[in-house]
Amino acid sequence: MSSARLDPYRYDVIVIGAGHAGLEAGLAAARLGCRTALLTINADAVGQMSCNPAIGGVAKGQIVREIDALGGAMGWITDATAIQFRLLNRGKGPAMHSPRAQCDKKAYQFLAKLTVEEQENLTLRQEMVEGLLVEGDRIAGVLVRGGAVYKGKAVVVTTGTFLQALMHTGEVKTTGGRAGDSSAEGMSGSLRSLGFELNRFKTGTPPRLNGRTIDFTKVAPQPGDATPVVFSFLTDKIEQPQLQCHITHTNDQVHELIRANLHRAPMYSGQIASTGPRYCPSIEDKVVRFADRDAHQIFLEPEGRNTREYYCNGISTSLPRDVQEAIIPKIAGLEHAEIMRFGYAVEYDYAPPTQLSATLETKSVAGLYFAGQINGTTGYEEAAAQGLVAGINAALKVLGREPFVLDRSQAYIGVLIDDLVTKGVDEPYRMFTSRAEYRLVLRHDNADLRLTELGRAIGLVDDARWARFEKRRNSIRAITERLDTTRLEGMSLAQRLKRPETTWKDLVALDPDLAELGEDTTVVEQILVEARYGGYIQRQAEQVARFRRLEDKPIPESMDYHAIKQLRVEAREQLSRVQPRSLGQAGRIRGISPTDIAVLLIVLKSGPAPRLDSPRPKSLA
Amino acid sequence: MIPRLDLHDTIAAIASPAGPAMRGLVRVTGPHAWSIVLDEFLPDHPGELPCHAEIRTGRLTLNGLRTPLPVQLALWPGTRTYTCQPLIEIHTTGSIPILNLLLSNILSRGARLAQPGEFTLRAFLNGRMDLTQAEAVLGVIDAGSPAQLDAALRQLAGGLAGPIEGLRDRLIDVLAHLEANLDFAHEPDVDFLARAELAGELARASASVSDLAKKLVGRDRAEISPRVVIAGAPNAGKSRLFNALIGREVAIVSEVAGTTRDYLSAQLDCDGLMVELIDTAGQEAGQTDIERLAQSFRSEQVNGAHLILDCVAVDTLSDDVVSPSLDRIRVWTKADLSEVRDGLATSAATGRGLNELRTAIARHLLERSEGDLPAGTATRCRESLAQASQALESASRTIAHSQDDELVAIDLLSAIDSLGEVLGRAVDDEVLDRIFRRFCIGK
Repeated sequence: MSSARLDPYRYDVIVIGAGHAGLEAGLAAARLGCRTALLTINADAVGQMSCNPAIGGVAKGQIVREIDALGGAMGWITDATAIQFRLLNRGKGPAMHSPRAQCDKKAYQFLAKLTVEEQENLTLRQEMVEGLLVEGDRIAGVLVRGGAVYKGKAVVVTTGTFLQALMHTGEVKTTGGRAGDSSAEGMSGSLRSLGFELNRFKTGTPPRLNGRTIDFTKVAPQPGDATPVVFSFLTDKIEQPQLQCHITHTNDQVHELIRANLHRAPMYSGQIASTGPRYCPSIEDKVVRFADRDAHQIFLEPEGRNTREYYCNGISTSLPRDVQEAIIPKIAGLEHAEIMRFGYAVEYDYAPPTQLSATLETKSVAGLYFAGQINGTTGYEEAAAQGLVAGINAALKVLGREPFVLDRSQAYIGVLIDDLVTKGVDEPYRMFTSRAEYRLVLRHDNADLRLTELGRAIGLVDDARWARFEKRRNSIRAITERLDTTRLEGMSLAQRLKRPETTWKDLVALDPDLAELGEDTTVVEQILVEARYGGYIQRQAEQVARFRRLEDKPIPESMDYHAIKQLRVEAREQLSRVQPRSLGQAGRIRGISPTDIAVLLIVLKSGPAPRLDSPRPKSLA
Repeated sequence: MIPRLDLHDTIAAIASPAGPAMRGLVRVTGPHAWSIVLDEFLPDHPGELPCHAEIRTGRLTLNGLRTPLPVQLALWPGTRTYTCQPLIEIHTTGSIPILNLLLSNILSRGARLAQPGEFTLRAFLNGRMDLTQAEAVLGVIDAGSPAQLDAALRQLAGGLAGPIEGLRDRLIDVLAHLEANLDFAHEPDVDFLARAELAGELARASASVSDLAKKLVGRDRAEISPRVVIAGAPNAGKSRLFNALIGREVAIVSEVAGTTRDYLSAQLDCDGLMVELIDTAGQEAGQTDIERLAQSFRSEQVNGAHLILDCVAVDTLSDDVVSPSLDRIRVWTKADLSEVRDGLATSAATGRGLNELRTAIARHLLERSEGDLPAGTATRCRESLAQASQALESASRTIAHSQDDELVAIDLLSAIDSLGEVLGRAVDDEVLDRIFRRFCIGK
């Protein structure tokens, strides 16, 4: 080993990890003009889907559309590499429509890697980061295996499940964050020594099978949509052919086998004590918790076009391999199926996200950002969203610009990050539409109208995307105006559209010019959605206005809650821990009551009560 | 849930002290104060609106009242008021049912019921008050805490909290089912929530709400008469004090029907504030069943009191002095017998101190009047039930002509929030928790 001191590499932004969070963070920082290093322990695994090869789904699909609208990468990479598209919740109202796609896992990964490689200002390098370098209370860089140093003004940590990662298959334990990969052992110690709290979560994967050995005559096909709904506002049309997925089920025999071997499942033997997600239970969990169910669904999802490997969505497990081998042949269609990879559970460190501010910068070390699974979330989409926000903010900080924060009324991304930094997590956090109180306005179809201007102001929306956006927005405006001003039989077309039975065709019949204005079907869709939700959208707009009033009352960072003796002790502690940036956020902290907010209003004396005069009658009748 | 402390709302509250005072006062402030009140005002002397504070007489048209209500309006135009927002005080009769009717009319025209201390909060934020005064207000705002609400509710409604809690719980179940169908529709374990079933649930919930609202009607008197209980050791002169206090009143002493030995109550005028004076007569420990029953009634009276007159005879030797507090006044009795110590000395025999006692009672109750005395509780409860009822009706209408469950969910959540406000509880992770408990979600 050489004792010669290496000159440190110098970057503006260093991103640790090149998963879904890391690649968005790296791309964003580089595109904003920062010299950026993207460090990964395996350069072949950029943007790898460690779990199922699918992007989107209910609430998650909306997030991908938002990432795209801001100028992120996930949406168009998915469109380019998907093998099947389905719009979930099609039978429900438009706010519930959620795009989902199966992807070609390797194609996705290669396109992600190529995108990173081609990005100016961005260095992709295979390195194992061993620790963080801090000067005072500021980040200074990272130390990698072999002794090299990367100096950076901002560091984004997106280490996923790789912090002190431990995989379980039955009694067998293997170090590593994903089958075939290693674990990052140095980082946890480095984070702890900086005073960060770390806890353990658990997640799992199912076995993967060789499709050649599956009997597809015994399983039900599940085709994609005839007309795919895409993720990116840049995509016009999907050209590639779609593949089918298939559905089969577990049965009593399978459940019997699982029950007989429960004592060998790490979650039940006590080998794993950490919390896993309730909405993504292992098959052993399902059998125990829902003992009355006699079957559970299994989706057989192809992992790509150039492989026969199938992902068995629905039977994630950490049972020993002999039990997995016994279970599979009991399932219809899988009688002779060969397992290519065994299922496993993985335990990893995460950092409770209340240690972050809404920019995803840590409160204790300036310039240090956390994004993705390290914050206790699950899901590629949740990770990518955080990566994008952290990358943007790291770059903005280096550039000396104002930080970028989305609030709960602007985007699912705002809901996600606000939940994380305000309430923390007690199980791996996944997005649901029910978490968004303004979900009628947070739709996948209007993500660009909500966010693309913001993306443009940041500098992530290029001219091509901006031109498309402006065209769409202008068409929507033109049609809206036309509907408002065209009157027939004493009624505007807009009023007519409010009747539930009115269709677009009816309007075009009344006003043929609309046909040309409404050439873009996505534009017409916007008009129809707003009409369909009518009064409810108005109501949500009022709620949003009310929400903003408290959201716009800032609390200074220097606030000393312990000095406010009128606050209850519990409130003082909670507020000190979370350090809310606004009265609105303070009100969402667990255990904070309206009384506490009233106290803060008084103590902050945050501006006078609004002086609100109102128009009034001139005289008394 | 967002705390309802929006400073842009027009707020209203009955500002006169709890209890049938001679005159009543409803205060309204906020951007819409003028239109809310003046749109229904018939002035005695039509003319220009004032540019400065002024009092106008006239009548207000109220829904639920056949003839317009005679009122005096104190009008403060513009922002030069103590809340820095237009402010109107409506002075009228002290009749509680009338004041409640007036208030609910104002609420139905778009004002929101003020939280305890909210007028003062606005005043403080506008520099109309110093921090010491504001701190006193904070204590008052604190009366909105769940425990106190709960106590007030129990007192008010004899167990309304239970049924409201049950209804809210049921609605959260329905919402969880609805949300499961929205977030996890593709999960095989989530069963479809049939429209008819949903409509049935909403109809049942609506019926429960009206039922609860009906139970609140007619509780006005119990709700607003502050209960002042005379308590003390045997031979402390309680009954004599009781008789002396009400002695000049017309004979309205009445034994409460059916419980001959439990307690006596009478209406007492304390400087214009009507209170229910209760004498826990017959304090001697009883041997018979009836006496034991009476004993338990007495403790209930003392526990439910707004103010306790803690009677001690001046010639008593033992002196287990209870520290004075907001809901307790130490009263020395039989002051004609012995040397008087510090404090309120009374004598039933000479009539000494009785007027001072009445004043003290009124002052004590008034000091607390901005807090959540049961007066506020009933109105608050009614207002929340009305909102829940509206939300449920809106949900039912939506079901009738739309398939969009996400819209129904909005109304349902708002009904649950309204019921939660009565109980001082907000929906947090309850909905997701129930979904995961009930359905096997996840691949």
